[in-house]
Amino acid sequence: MNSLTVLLTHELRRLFRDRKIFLVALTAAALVGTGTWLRAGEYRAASREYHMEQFENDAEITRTGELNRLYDMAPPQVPPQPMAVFHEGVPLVVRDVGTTEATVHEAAFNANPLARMFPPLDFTTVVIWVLGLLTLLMASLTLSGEREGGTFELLVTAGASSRQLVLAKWLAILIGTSAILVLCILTAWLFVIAAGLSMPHSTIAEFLLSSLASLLYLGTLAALGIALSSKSASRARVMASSTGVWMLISIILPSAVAHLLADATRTENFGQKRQQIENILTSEREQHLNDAIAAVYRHDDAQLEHYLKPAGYSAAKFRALPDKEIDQLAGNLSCTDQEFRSFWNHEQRQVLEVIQSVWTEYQGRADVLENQLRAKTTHQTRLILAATAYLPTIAYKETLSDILGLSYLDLMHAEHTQKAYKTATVDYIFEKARTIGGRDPFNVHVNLADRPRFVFEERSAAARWLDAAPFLLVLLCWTAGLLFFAARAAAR
Amino acid sequence: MHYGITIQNLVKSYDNGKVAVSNLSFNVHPGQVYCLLGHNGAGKSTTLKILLGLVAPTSGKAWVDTHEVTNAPALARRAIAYLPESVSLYGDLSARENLEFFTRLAGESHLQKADYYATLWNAGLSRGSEEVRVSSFSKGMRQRLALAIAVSRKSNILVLDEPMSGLDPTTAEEIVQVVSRERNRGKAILMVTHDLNSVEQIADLAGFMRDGKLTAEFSRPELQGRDLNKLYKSLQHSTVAA
Repeated sequence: MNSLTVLLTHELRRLFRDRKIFLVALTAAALVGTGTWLRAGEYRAASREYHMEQFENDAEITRTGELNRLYDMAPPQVPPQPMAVFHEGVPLVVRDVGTTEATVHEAAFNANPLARMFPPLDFTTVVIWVLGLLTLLMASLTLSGEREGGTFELLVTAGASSRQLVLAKWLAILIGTSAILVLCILTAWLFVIAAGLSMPHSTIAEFLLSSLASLLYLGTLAALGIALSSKSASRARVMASSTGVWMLISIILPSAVAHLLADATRTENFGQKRQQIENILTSEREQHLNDAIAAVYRHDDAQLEHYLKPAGYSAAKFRALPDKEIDQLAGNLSCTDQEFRSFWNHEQRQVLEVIQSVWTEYQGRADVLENQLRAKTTHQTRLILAATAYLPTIAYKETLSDILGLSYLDLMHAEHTQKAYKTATVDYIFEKARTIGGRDPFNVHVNLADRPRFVFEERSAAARWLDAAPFLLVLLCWTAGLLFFAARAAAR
Repeated sequence: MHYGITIQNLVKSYDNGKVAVSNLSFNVHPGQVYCLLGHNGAGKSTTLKILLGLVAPTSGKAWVDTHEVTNAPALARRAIAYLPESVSLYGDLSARENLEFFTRLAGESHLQKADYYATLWNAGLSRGSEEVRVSSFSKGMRQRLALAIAVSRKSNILVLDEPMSGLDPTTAEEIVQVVSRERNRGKAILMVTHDLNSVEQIADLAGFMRDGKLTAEFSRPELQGRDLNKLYKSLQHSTVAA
């Protein structure tokens, strides 16, 4: 039996003889199990709601048939992600580093400044944090403990080289924490199975890879702890410095990096931003407005006149307008064609400004947005808005998203794309006005296949892992480097 | 060929100018107990650390048997059975498990439980304490256990750092007996100590260190009949040579 085996056996015997580690393992597994069970319930409910909503939308569109797809389109939904069952606990490292989507989360739109400082906590996240701290502390007590207890000299004179000593301690800690991690993972899967959820293969693979990455993360922490331990003969001192280092690398740096990345990668997160816009615009108010607009186009004269009255039109008069009188309507507004176009340019700019200001200042309140729109647009404008589906209905949101295309944030933040956006918006509005002028908008047959849908472009797991690869490589290099450093320092 | 411990013109100085060991030379031959005395900070511990390869000397040479500590620190280290000054050992393991671990680490894995028990008893540990966790041991029991670990090594060199420190007279006497027995087995023993009684009992040679230098060295016949307390005090305040 060589020295490394003797040392490793000795370390493992001491580690697993301590009942505290079993207590920690059971507590961690219980927390992860509870968290997984709760999230499995949420996931199941979200899936059920998603499928039900999709079914109802399709049924409604099929039933009414005549509904214009612009006005009564159901709000697009994002299907819930199976990985959400595990949240960002076990796969914390990879999800945070491997995806830019994770850098901007809902907390960024939350008024509570504390929510911006800390990532959302759940049982699994807490377990990984605590497990990381535990690993670091256990590792930091290794060599310093041997020195303080006077056994270090005994070990080296008995034939243990500093390299073997460091490696044995690192492996023992890694095996100990891996055992806890594996227990947590198995518990999580047991609860997934118990909850009756089926996970696609890609999710299972991603989960396993994430778990391996978490293990590597713990291994790096163990190496860091041993490196710190090699420079001190005082356990108390090295424990204090390890706790400080853990806070730095687990809380302070990730928060700072998340904020920096959130700014640096703003334009890359349009998918998530767009979803957040959807969330913002999907409020209780939406249903009310949707009903109102639907009523208008279902020949509800009272509602229609509510919009037309400021311009001096009745519903009947509005409906009776022949195609060419749409242009005349512009004339009634005392505008030439050129002026009409300029007027729209101006209006659209105003609308953009409102959206932007609401986005940045009010962080997405649909009612504020609507009130501002109403305040900034004249009654003549509202007439046109009614005719061009401009009111803040679901259809408006779809329209807006259609116009925005795929790079919403580019449009929001870059001047050249803003210009393109405005041009596209104006063109779109005119196109719609002409469509209404040329066809009966109330009897357009809805072709479900033609139904515009949001495409939520999520980055694939493989792409995110590819992003995470350099980080994992750095972790691996750091682990090797720290162990080498610890062996050198211990030899002195 | 060098056997035992040989130290020649050893110097250890630090960057801040402090000289811990200055031109130190002495030999410890097989079957000999060399007691190294001196006040705190005299350079005794630094000398031991150099022998153990934990501190590199600035100049000079030291041999542990045939191994020169600067050229072959690992071999030199392995040739030494060492008893640290205050060792708490692994409190969560029993006395036998502590002994077994260090013995296996030293490459001796053929021993049986009875062998370990015998080693523990020979070092003065009472029967019945073999499977008791070391965390419940008194300082004296820990010291006996550490001595058992040191003497269980198949090593020709035994280095003891303050083995009697803080022990009651009975325990100290038992440890002297164990050391004496090891000397009779032909081991070269270097013992750093402040305990003049033990020096009187077992030292074949006694060296006095002051400010990193060996200021005096006495053989056993030279020590006999002298008042060691008086001698020690006088050596602390002067550079009297024997």
